[in-house]
Amino acid sequence: MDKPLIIAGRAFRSRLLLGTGKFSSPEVMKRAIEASGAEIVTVALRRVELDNPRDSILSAIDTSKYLLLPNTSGARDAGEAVRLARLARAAGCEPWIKLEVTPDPRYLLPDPVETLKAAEVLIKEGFTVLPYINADPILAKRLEDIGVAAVMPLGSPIGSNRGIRTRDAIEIIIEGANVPVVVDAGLGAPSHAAEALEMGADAVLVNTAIAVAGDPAAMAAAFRKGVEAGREAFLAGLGRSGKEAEASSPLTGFLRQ
Amino acid sequence: MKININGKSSQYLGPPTLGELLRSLDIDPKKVAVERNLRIVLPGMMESEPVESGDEFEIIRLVGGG
Repeated sequence: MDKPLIIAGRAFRSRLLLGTGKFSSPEVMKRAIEASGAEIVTVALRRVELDNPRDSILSAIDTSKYLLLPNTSGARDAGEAVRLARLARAAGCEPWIKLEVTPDPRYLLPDPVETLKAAEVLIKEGFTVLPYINADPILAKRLEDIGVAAVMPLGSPIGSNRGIRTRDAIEIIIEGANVPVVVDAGLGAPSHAAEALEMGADAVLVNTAIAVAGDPAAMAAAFRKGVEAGREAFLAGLGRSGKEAEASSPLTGFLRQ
Repeated sequence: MKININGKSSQYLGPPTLGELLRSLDIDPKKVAVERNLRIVLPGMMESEPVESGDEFEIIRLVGGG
């Protein structure tokens, strides 16, 4: 039996975190969340549309079953991220925050300096902080030292579906981490999720690949299996890889002998 | 009186509390977070928080996101 995923003392059976953006309707999203088996779902914060004031994602998510993990998407610096985190708490979320500071709209890469600054402030204010970061082992350590609950290195840019392009650095992060490592961003196929778990990542976060699939609920189920397969393979212990062949059939008793 | 809501200037003529302002906009106070002049209004204080001429409000809700 596998151990649960533990983040900030809280246990989760699922190692797949699901983002809720880009779904074509709340109903489609709801079915995908159920099919994914996820227990943590991320949300964002935006201004109320005054011509559509009743619109609410909360009507589609049972908050007694799922932990809502608000993000600070849209923040361009530490100050904006802290402001969004405080608003999320005021909006009724538990004080858990997926910290993301992405000043550059083209690649949405996280700003390491501002992320570290914001994390320090939010941890002092009692938040459970899960920072979205570049796959930078030193930054991951620095964040761990100040008390983040997990680190979330990117596989490739958000929404790019390019898979894990940062493999070597993520391996170093996993090797040194004492907090869960959640590979976030860019995972475009269940095989990418499986790869992350095979490497020893503790969990993955997926949004775009599921939300924009032809059948999001079916893709969510496929990601769930990818995550489970990857985790089981990691626990089973993968064989070593090498350049030359290693015969799998006996090398004795050939006909010519 | 003239106030600013989510970056837009508007006229408000109702009773000068945030609870009344939100109701006039058909917003459920339990489903939003509000900043008044960059200070968060605590959820328990929504009803009684005053609304004064020149105030700037940010009214924020949760939406889908990664």
